[in-house]
Amino acid sequence: MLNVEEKTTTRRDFLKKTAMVAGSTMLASQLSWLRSYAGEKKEKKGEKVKIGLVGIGSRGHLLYLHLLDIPDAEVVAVCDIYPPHLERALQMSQGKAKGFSEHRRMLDEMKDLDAVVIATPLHTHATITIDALQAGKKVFCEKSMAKEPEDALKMVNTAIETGLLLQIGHQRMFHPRYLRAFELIRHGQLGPVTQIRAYWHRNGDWRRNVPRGNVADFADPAMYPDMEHFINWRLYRAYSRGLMTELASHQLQVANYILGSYPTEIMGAGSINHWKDGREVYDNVNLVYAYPNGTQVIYDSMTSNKHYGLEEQVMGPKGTMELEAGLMWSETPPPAPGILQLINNIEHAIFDNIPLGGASWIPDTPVKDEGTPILDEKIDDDGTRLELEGFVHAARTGELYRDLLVQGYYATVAALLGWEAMVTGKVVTMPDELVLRNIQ
Amino acid sequence: MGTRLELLIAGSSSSRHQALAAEAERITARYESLLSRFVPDSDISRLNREGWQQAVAVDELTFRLLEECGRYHRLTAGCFDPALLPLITGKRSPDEEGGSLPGWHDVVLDGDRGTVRLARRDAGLDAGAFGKGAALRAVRDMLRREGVTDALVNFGNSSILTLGRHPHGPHWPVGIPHLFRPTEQVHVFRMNDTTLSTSGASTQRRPRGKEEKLHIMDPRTGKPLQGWISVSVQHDDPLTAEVLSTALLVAGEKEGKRILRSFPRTTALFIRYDEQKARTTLLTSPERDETNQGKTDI
Repeated sequence: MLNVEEKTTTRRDFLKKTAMVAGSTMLASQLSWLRSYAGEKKEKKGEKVKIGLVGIGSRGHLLYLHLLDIPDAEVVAVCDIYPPHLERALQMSQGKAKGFSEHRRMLDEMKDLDAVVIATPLHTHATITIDALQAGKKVFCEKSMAKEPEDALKMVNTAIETGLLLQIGHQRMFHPRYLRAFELIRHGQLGPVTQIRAYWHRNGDWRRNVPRGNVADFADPAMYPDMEHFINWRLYRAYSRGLMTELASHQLQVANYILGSYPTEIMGAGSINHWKDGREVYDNVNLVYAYPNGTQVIYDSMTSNKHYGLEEQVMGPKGTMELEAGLMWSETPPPAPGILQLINNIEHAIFDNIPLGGASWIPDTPVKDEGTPILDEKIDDDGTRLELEGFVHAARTGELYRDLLVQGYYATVAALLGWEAMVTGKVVTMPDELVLRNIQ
Repeated sequence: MGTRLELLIAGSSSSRHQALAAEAERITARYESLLSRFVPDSDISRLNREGWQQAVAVDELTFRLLEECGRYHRLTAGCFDPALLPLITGKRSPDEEGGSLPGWHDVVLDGDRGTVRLARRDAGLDAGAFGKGAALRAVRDMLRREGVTDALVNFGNSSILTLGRHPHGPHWPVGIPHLFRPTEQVHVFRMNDTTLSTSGASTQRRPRGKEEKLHIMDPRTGKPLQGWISVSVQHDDPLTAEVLSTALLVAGEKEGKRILRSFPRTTALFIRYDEQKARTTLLTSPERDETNQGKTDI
């Protein structure tokens, strides 16, 4: 078991190594954070990034655990309107962080904060992010960016205006396996990508335990009528777009990145067909995203069956990739080794020549119907740790990762327009006013 | 031996197959432990290390095999030579001054004591051209003893042993795929109780994982064979098939014809690749050993 110091070095070295490995390739020249690591920009020596963490529920708690493990980061403030969560965070801080129940108080009082990490419910992302940027802080905001497309746009514009880092929590952009997949795809391994199919299937009501209590004790009752709405915010339209913003945006981001574009037409249908428990968001969503080059992305997510799990299936005339499973296949695999073919023949009562005899200098090409791993190394992180390391690195070097911000933005917009398509039952077109121009 | 062994037994139950496969594995493991120069305390390794200083005692199995190697060496006019290790490893360059090339003549067998000695310091044995065949022969004998009638054993694609016939046809039809167009077959052997062994030479080193694929050495020049050639030999005996596949590769078609007179009931297929085109020559030796009967037209 590595001690904390070693583990951290390993992860940072891993990030660096990933950048180095990608260094001489297409991807490195295109992805800002890789470029930044490969370029060895000088980090300011000895200065830790002082972080204020806002929203320490289930996701925020995990982010906090990671941040505690990153030596260059120092969580000096924790902020949560929900007393039990704030309490827990203060305990985790072991006296090192000051507690707040309101983010503006935190920004006002902690003048020496460098950065803010936001993991609050979706509908508060925009306000907190914009306030933090305007207070001169670098921001890491969990996905999705906002509940309304206009808010997401405002967040981007504020980042540009203030010239500060705004990083959105799409961890797959830091995951070595995804990076390798992107690399291979860009090198034409699949040929042109002619379809992407992504899905996220779970089986569960997505509910948290609702403790007894009076929400008015700590939150605005105009915003949250009761504890049920406060705790299970994901299920209500005032706070969330359900599966689209809480799950789908990750996968839509990956699809956007692979296609190098954003969808221009969106259509779909959703419903509540199983969890009829008073929720307002769909328990199954089904969408088709059309991209300008004629490629479609088919997306669905549902929460009454977990058999198929989650996946992004990327298809082209030369091959296939499954990014979550981390496997790839060729459409024209080498001929099956003789024995497999022989067994197949015998089982089908076929008497046919078996191509077996060959000089042993012909390399044995094993059939891998199960697919070839995209990355041989096993990565025990889903990218969250790496993206936080990347954030801390950027905070120290002044990197802006604008390309990642654009990714985060269009992922959010795709999710939100998907929601709109389902709610209106119409084909939604990407509005011109939502298209980003001149991002620096 | 770093090679995959695949055992296909027609009509066997799963448990019986498991038992037979396990036994086959045991047999090949034993041969490896005796013959592999990559196993530090195998007979071959010990011989290579200490044999020039003193006579080395070896397992009876090893000794008998080495005796057979001597016989093959003679019958193939020296084209089969398992004592070229220094040339293979590069310890001895063929162009080096001073003394003859290493070879079988450096290996001294003492039948009374069952020991083996090397006549000089830089001599060495490598079982790469006969070890698989020997093991395969033992596997075949085991399968026959166990009453298996129809089976196919594939040892790394370079040695294929058959018993009986394909479940749906009169023989096992084993094809040699075209090197550059693997869906095409250059030749198909119809096999019943025979072994097909293939050796190949190429001008390129083709690294396979950590182990570099070795050139086939010509014992007469000490240099690796050039060009893209392969020889596939079909014979009743797995060891003979393997030995001949290398020997005939070294000998070439013309000299190969002569050698085949000492090996009845053998078929040899030469494939030469020239600009991705395969040119084949098929040689077959008659039923009886003709060597003592004067010239024969094969």
